Amino acid sequence: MAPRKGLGAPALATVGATSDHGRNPQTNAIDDQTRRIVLVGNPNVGKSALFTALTGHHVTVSNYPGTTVEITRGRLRIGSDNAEVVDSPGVNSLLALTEDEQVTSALVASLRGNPNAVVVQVADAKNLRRALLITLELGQIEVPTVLDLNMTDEAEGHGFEIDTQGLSEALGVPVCRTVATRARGVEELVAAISRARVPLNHFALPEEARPAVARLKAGVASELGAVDLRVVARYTEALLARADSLVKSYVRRRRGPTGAWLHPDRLAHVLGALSVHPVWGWPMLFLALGAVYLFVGRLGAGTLVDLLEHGLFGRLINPAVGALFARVPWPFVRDLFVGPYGLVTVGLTYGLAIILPIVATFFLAFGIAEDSGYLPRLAAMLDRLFRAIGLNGKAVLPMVLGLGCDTMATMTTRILATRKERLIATLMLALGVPCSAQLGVLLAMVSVVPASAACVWLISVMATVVVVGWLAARVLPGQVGLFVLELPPMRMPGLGNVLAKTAARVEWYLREAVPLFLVGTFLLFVLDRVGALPGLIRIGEPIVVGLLGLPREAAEAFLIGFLRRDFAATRLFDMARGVAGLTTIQLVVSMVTITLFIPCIANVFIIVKERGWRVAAAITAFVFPLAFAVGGLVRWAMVAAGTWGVR
Amino acid sequence: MKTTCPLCAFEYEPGDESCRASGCPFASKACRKLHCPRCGYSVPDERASALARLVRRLLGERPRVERVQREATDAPFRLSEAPVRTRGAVSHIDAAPALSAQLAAQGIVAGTVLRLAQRHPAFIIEVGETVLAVERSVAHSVWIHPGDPTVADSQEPHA
Repeated sequence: MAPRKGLGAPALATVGATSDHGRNPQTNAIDDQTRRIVLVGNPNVGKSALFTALTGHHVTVSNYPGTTVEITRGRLRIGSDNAEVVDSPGVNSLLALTEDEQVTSALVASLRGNPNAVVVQVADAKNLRRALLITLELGQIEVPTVLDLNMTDEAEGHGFEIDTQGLSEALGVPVCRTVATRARGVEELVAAISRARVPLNHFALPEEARPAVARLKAGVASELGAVDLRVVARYTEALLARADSLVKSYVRRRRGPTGAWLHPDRLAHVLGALSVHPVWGWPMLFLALGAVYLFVGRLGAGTLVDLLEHGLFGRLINPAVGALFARVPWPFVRDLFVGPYGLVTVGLTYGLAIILPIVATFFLAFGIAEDSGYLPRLAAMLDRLFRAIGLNGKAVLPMVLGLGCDTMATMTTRILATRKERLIATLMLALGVPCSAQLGVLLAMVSVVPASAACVWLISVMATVVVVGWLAARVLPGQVGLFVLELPPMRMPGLGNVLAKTAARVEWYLREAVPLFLVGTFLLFVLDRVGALPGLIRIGEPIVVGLLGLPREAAEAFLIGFLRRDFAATRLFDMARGVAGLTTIQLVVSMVTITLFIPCIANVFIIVKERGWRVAAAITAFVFPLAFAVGGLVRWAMVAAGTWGVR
Repeated sequence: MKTTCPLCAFEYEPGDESCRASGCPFASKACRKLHCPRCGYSVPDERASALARLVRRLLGERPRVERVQREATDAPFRLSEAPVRTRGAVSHIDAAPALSAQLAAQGIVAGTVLRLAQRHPAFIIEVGETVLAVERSVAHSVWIHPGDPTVADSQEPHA
């Protein structure tokens, strides 16, 4: 390989980062002009943490595989040069088997022959064998590489001693040691980038495995035939044998994991074992759900909403803005901001006073769950239950993520192995998984109805999800992949990481959801001013009044529910607390109907992007009528039961 | 299914034949005891006791009879049939190419040393520092040699 241009003394600087939303993996190819540093490695080895340490730009880091499903780019200043740093989805092998692995495979394959591209392979120092599989593959692709042994603190805690120098000589690449979460060793790593070399791969490859190398260099497609897969398996076996001999030569384990019972590592290990235990795993699960309910449902949706809605907005902001606009001589402007469909009195109050505290507390709880490593264990616990709806336990990850945001979760369905699973998971997310904002409002609504009525809501939604999933599993062609999921070690969540993640998500909410709230409010305002709202309400009357038995005004809520269902839920909640109020049956029917709505317009767009417009159109045409039909059915059943009144 | 007498360590096949041969008047399918044909010592049959199975499950163990049988043989067997805490090297993988490729990417190939940590609700397999949760059919396709290969001194999970 030709000598590389020196990069000078490392001096880290932040310039920023972007995510490749909407880009096709094949177009992630890198041009030859700019110096590119591509972070590659197994899932959950700290690539995103290293990306943050290198660029200073926060990206979501979690303790479960599948956090990064897209390419993220940032900038790093090295001396006087600017370099682009690219974070890629984690892979177990560059011979991609899943859609998310394909993104990285195509990216790495595109680096061949680019003299300005360097791969920094991030490895979990405790688990070198599997990392070396990728190093050897990088050697086959012939891409200059630096091997970064990350999490060396944990490896030392587990008693591993790695001969870095020997390993570097055997592989022919610089080998560095880092603790990315604490930015330890990062400057040395940057300095080593100028010495990147193609990893040596002088070992005998079985003849039958050779076609895999060509495939590796080309950046393989994810749908492989049986013959190809056999070749891939044989090839991987040969590389692992080489990796084993390297590990045997350069890694020693002097002692076991730290022995003290109260050592955090040991406690985390015990907790991890308990959380997937056949018996104790279930109380742990209910304990976790209970804690989330108390934190989000009571603290977020109760105390904090009260403080913001009645305190800050009710007593300070809204009266002040009302007084300000009272002096405005034009009723149109006055009504636009502080009227019954006012941007401040409705749009901002809903977005900031009611939804914000709920999503903030949910994101905080979710961040803790993510970083602890509990989510993959939850997947292992629920694998068998998910089989009933044509999915396997791996689908728990997008489903739980959907409780945060269905739009983001729809992208995470890429971690599922087959098209059928991805399709069912996308449908389930659109149909029955409420996002954090909506969940919070629903929990608040639950608190004003009797427990039996709340059960009707829960059972109706769950039954709809199970029946639709069960039918989809039988109607849709294709296979369900086998459940094989890596369980990362349980860890004490880092306060800084959890808070930074929560802040990033809250910012995302403020940027994406609040403007849509304002647009929805403005839409209602305009419709009201031009006199079209009564007409639309009349059109919706047969469904809203006739089928669902709700007041005519509820049609407004469902109308804006097409934009964001949490906005609609908030509107219905507001109606319930109003002068006329809603009966128990009306509340439950509206809760069921709005829960089953497609989450938001952004979710439809992401389905178009991920699965194509046909699927998006089919899901939209299926979900909305189904939501109204189930709502009508629930109303009929509740009236027939006669327990909750007659309306 | 063979069992070992806790008193005299004699290995025998419990059931009608050996019981009848020992002259036991209660030898029938309804009998819930294991009766050693050599010393006559009898123990309750754990396999027939739901309570014993529950206790074993609470402790994360499999019935002892099964484990005794596994220790007595050197032939490879399926991981799905192994008791909890079995450690051994993968003999071969009897799976469709897609699963073989997937397992290989996770580091499980012939010769890899692994440990079965748990069977329910999913099979939990430890390979070096990697912990995998897999469904039963995946464990069923992995054949292992029993035994306790020494791997404690390195990360290398190859026998």
